[in-house]
Amino acid sequence: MPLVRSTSRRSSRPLAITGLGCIAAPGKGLDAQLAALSAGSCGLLLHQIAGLPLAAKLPVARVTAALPRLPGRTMALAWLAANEALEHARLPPDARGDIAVIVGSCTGGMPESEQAFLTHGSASIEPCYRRQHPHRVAQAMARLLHLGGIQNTHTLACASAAAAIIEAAELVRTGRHPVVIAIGSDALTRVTMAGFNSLQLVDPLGCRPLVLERSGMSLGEAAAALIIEDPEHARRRGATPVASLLGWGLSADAYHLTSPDPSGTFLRRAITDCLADAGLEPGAVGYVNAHGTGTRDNDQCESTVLSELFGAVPTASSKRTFGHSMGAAAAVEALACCLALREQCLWPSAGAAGGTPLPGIDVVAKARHARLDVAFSTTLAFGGINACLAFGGAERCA
Amino acid sequence: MRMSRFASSRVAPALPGEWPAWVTGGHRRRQDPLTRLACSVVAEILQQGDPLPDQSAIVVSTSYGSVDSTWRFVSGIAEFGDAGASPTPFTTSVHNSCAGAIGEILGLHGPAVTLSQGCTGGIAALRWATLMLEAERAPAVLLVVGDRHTPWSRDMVRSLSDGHWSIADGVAAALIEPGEGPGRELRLERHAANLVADGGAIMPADDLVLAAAAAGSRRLIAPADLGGWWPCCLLAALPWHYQGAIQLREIEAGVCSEAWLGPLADGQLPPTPVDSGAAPRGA
Repeated sequence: MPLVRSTSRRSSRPLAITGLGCIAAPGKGLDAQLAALSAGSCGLLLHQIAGLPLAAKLPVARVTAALPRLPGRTMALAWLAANEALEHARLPPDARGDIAVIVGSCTGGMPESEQAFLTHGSASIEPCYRRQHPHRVAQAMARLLHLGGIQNTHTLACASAAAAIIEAAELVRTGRHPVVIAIGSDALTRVTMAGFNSLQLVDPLGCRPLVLERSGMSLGEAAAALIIEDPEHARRRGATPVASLLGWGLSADAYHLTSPDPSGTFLRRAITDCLADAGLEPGAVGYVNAHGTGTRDNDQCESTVLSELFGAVPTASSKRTFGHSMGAAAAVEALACCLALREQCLWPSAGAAGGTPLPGIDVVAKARHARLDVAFSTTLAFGGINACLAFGGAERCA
Repeated sequence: MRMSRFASSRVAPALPGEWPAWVTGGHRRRQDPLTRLACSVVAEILQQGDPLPDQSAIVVSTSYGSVDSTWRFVSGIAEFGDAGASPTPFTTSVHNSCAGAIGEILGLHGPAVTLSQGCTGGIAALRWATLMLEAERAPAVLLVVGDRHTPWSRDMVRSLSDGHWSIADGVAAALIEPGEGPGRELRLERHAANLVADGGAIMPADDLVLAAAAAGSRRLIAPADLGGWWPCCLLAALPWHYQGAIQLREIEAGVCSEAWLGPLADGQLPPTPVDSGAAPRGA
């Protein structure tokens, strides 16, 4: 059986992204995210949050906007993002019968289950446990938003939403669904906060990705949704694309469960696969929204590979603005890429100003306008996952 | 697409006694019970043919995941406080730790994903595998589907199901490859079938939907055949030796997922009789 080589594969046709939605620490809706991205603002809170004791010591990006009453915080975040994206795409409830819903989430209903466990003991969690599993989010979105297509849930740590976007893309490309909503959603939990703290990966002063002075990550919570649509279907119904999805890459290090392979071999593979899928040369990429967690290993590996493949490409991380929202992160960062393309603006890497940028890449310290054709988003995750998504302007799917 | 190899733990009330030889000391110490069960089934897949190409993909579909580790970690928070919990159960508590561990041990560098789609996760995994092969992203997809119950999941299933089925643990694995050849043809699109196989349903309303859809057809009900139920038990009950075409159905909250397996290629495994849907419930 011959190995699949990225250079030999055909490129795929661009897909239309016709709707976006997001709720995150900066606020509710696209305008709030746009303002935070362009200012490079810090979304981290440095005060006690009820129910999250470590937040007294470790800054986190908490959503403070009011949430709808749904049985679970992750579900409520997802609903807000998905509803906004569907409205943005002008897909009213009676036009959603064939829309598939693909979710990326790590925590699902964990915030509620862990609270029940820690407050009342293990015997008390059964009612919450029913809603804990990540697929409950997809089920709820389908029911509440009248989405009649297939449902699926990817739960591969920080790359969950990237995989959801990839499945959405392939469902559209193969003609199985003309429209798919890909959602990434994760709420903060004590498990994730205490877990990353136990691994000594959290920066007590707040993350500063892509600079030499970085000393760890900052957690957050968010949901983002993208409507991925067959361009012809979008044209027929008069929808206006925001951007286009050009390609994707997905690989595994097979190196370590929690640490990236320092050689970056398979991150490089994911990126070159994505370039081949999108039919692009490296020089076409004008902006990279890096995973950029702020940890020593992640940023070192990622910046080295980006530098080797793209040279001094303008690069930023959104982690100080949104926090690291785990299963939602890749969807939030996909949204950042789409907005960068729409606004023709390179968003800055919050926290980079005043630091020493990592060598080899052009760490964007302040927002700057530029002619931007293609933006990349990279993601690294527990399990040795590497994911890469390529986005282009709306005109590419015209 | 074709399912070229298949293995199943059927019902696994206890952990397998022996680790496969390819799982070495450090991995044996770290892996959670679900991964250990999965490794035992993957070992059977590996024994059936050549080693997997290193660009193979892996998809693990598990409703509960490594939830033992998650609750061990939460117990650590309860006992030692947020800042005192041990990192070991945290790292294996992530839902994709099983896929990550198997991929790492076998050196698989293709797309490695983990799905959690409740009782329809088996067909979701078949769909993902098909998409990856159609997109030419891997030469083969190692598919692992299964769950280990916890006391909480047992309570949940009992209260939801009104005791329809005995509860069990189990894992199935298959190798999905492109093209034709030995094994079964895999289709996502509707196809004629000689047998309807379903995963049973813990909710009575769902069970009625499955039964109605199979009316008049020869039917295999997975938990009856297996002697126990877990969220995606259908694939473990797959009648691999059955020569005819099979319609696979899984249901979750009233939503059905379907896939079709074509007949075995000529000259392959001999036919084995399959029970009809007359098997008693709660076997």
